Formats: sequence, C-alpha cells, structure tokens
Amino acid sequence: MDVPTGFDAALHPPARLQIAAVLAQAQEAEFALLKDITGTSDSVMSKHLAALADAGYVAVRKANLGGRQRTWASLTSAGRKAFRQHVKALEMLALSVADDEPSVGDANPES
Amino acid sequence: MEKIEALSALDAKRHAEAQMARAANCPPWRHAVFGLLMGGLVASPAFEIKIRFAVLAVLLGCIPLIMHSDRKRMGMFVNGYRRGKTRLVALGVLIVELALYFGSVRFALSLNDRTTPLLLGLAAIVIGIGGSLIWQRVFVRELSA
Repeated sequence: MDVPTGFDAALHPPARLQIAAVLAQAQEAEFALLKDITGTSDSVMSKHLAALADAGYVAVRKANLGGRQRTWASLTSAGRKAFRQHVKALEMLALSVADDEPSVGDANPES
Repeated sequence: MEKIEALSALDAKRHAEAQMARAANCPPWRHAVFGLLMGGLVASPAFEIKIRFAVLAVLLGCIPLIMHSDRKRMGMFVNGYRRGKTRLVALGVLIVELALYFGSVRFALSLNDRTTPLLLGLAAIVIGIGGSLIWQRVFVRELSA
C-alpha cells in the first residue's frame, strides 16, 4: 500500500493533535480547558501552543474574563486545513492496519 | 510514521473530543434563554414600533452576553452553525423560526392582528428550547462516537 501523504510534523505530537481537535470543533478555547483535556502542565501547553502558532495553525489572544486575564486559542484556516489533511492521512494509515491484519483463513496459507 | 502510531493518534483525538463533549455542559436555563430570544424575536411585531425596536435591541444585546457566559462557564465557545450534524439542526431551527417571524410580521403589520404574533412567539419559545436540546444531544453524540 502507498504511504498516505498529508502528515504534518507540527501536528504529530498527540497533545498538539488533541489541541487542534478541540479547536476544530470550538470557535475558541481557553488555555485551562486545553490543558485539562490534554492532561499537560502549564509550561508544556505553552510550548505546544507556541509551536502551533509558529506554524501558523493557531491564533492566540489574551482577554479579560471574570476579572482575570486568560489566554484563548483558535484554529486558523491554515490550521483547519492542515488538521483535516493530517487526520485523513492518519485514517488511511489506520485502515491499512486493518487490511494487513491476517484473517483466520490466512493464518496458514499452506493448508 | 508507524501504523500503530496512527491508531494511537486517532484514539487520542477521539479521547479529546469526548472530553470536550463532557466539558460542553449546557444547563436548562441556557436552553431556555435561547428559546426566549427566539420567542422575543417572533413576538416583536406585536408591539408598537418604539417597543418593537427596544425589544430587538435587547435581543441583540443578549447575544454577546450569552457568548460571554458560555466562554466563562465552559472555557470555550462553540458556534451553532459549526460543520457537522448539528448544522442540520441549527438550519432547521433557523428556517422554522424565520417562517414564524415572517408570519408574525404579516399578521401584525398587514392584518393588524396583535394576538397571533404573541401566540407565534410562544411557539417560537417551545421550538427554540426543543431545537437547543436536540442540538446539544447531537453535538455530544457526534463527539462521543
């Protein structure tokens, strides 16, 4: 089987894929929510968001909410496109796993 | 990338989406507020022009308040017209509510009937609340699948 194209190095780490998955569904999400969902620390989340922002996939803004300064992230159109392509490539690769798994009848082709 | 990594990455994505669905809790008052907004819009032609515009101004002013409240409560804002199965629900509700609104306008302004727009407004509240509940259920089901 051909290796599918569309993989994106910026979205390869699972936490970044999870961040993109959440932002693909929400217009905007807060830093704390993304941290909870991915199960990462403040510093690790900051690094992942910075990496995604550097790739042009995520826009980050700071805004006051409930008297506290909070960080909000949203997916850019480039990020949305890259996420879709990356997930499609993952799904193709995952399907090939199913195809490659031997069925009962293939277990002993000699018999 | 190894095939097993792809499966693991997709599993991580699904897990994040399921967590998000759990975080997107929508209390009963939030559904009621949406229904009241729809009802207010549909019933507005029943009132004389100054009150009508005041009602519409209040309704418009409520939209950023609702967005602010959603952001504060859930840490995110999900657009009702987001891509996915929920879009069908949102468009269905929009079409029905607009039909009720234009019916209300016709009864109030062309036929000078002020009662029917109020009744249509009540119907719009019920449809708005029902639509909001269905939207939420479809959203959670889609992300938890």
